[in-house]
Amino acid sequence: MRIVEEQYRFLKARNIGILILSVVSVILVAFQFAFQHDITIAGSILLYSIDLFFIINILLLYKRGSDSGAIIFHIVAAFPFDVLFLFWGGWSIEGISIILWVRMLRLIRLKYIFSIINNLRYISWINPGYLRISKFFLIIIILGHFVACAWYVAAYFSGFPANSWVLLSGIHEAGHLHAYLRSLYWAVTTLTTVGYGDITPHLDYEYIIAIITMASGAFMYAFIIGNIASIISNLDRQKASFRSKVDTMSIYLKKRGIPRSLNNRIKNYYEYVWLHHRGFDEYYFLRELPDHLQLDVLLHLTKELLVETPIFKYSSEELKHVLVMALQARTYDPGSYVARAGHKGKEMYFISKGRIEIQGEPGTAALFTLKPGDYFGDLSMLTGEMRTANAVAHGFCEIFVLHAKDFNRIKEEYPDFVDVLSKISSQKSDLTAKMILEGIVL
Amino acid sequence: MEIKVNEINDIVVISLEGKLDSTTAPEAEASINVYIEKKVPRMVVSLKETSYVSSAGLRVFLATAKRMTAAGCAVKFCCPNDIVKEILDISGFSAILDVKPSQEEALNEL
Repeated sequence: MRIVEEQYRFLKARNIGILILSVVSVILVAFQFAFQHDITIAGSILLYSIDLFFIINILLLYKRGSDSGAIIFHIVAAFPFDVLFLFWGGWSIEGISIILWVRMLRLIRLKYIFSIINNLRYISWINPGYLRISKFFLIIIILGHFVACAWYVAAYFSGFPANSWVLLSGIHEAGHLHAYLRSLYWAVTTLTTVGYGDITPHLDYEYIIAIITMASGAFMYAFIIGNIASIISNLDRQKASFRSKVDTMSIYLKKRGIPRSLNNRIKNYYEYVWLHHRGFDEYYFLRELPDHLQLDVLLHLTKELLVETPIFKYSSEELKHVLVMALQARTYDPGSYVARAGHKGKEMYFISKGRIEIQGEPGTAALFTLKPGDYFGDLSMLTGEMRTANAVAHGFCEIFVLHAKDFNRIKEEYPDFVDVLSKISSQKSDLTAKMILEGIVL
Repeated sequence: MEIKVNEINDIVVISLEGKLDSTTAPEAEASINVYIEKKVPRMVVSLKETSYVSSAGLRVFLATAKRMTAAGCAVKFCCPNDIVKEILDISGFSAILDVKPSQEEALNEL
């Protein structure tokens, strides 16, 4: 279990590392190409350090036996092919170093970015809606960056003519950062269709870039806004669906003439179930899981009960597992009957949270109060007699129920179960004696 | 229910035969009470032929043990069958009552 968790944690950390470094490297490569035009020591060190991470990642993938097609892609994405041109570093095409042209191969890391975001939902508990929003923001950032780079490098390729936007804006001699900020500003205002008009196209290629950017911006704007609206409305779909179920039930009960007080009790019950169980009926929900996962979840859910309740304290691990699998979790709202007088005992109850009052007549003062860790209902089940008292929830109660057929099955399959019950019943013998003398059978 | 009373070595042995439920419990309690009132110093309640015990029967056992102890007398219960033993064990009565697996053992310890 721990090994699996560690593997998941490692996989998640590695994917997040690849995601961040992929974003940094594609942004850096495009920036160097468009604005710096030549290699810099700091930029190269950063880029090669990132490459080293990707090469280590390939080795790990190779060790894990990834398919050869995927490995070739990873090699192309990771290998610093530009080092092959270091001896010809002085060469340039259109005024940009040959090394920076080759470095553009790293842009295929864009594939990592989107595939990792898509895969994160399988290995993380982050809401998929948030992941989709993050993906859109990343698209905006990367697209804006590429448009800014293209807007500037096009002017650079044409040799900064007098009527190009770079000269008209007076940034042809400005630093890389200043030039980048102005380009990015134009890219964002155009992509978002704001378009202040302070930087405008004058040359044919500038018009082409502007048209493509505006068209992409309009499409992206509509696509992203539409998607974000849908994502936000779906983020709390579970709560909305639960709320709708409660409202439908409330309307139905009102139509059927159910008193307001009972209707409010039902609403309060659902409110509690939402707050404590996120609206899930754990018993039926967990039954969908395979047995081994169901057992692990149940052992986690009942871990306090396993420590506090004597029946589990004295049970062997095997017996504990069988009992936990057989138990049914139930929530009782204040004042509701857990067991009623006059009913034949077909189940026994283990209190997990809350208190249970034992009342002779309904609504009368409590004869006894049972607390978390206590259990009841066994005597009626054992002797087959009618219950002679009511067990009423005092406040919200979480109770685990063991049905008679499970009780009998466990008793037969695990003879030590009777020894455990005998051991624990001797601890509550005073209470049992008092109840028996009062004529209470539960 | 059939109730048999024997005296072995000055010890009163009461055998409860059949089902000890809410119908038969008053009769069993009345029979036992006769000897409690007589202040017999030592008593064994044999459950060898008791086929079933309900909560009313458990109440009889409990009341017997309490009254005998209060009077400074001794009582032991013995030889319950598997069904009755299970009820006594699971309900916690094995810890309240002094239950012996055989009549001999109960007699020897009194």
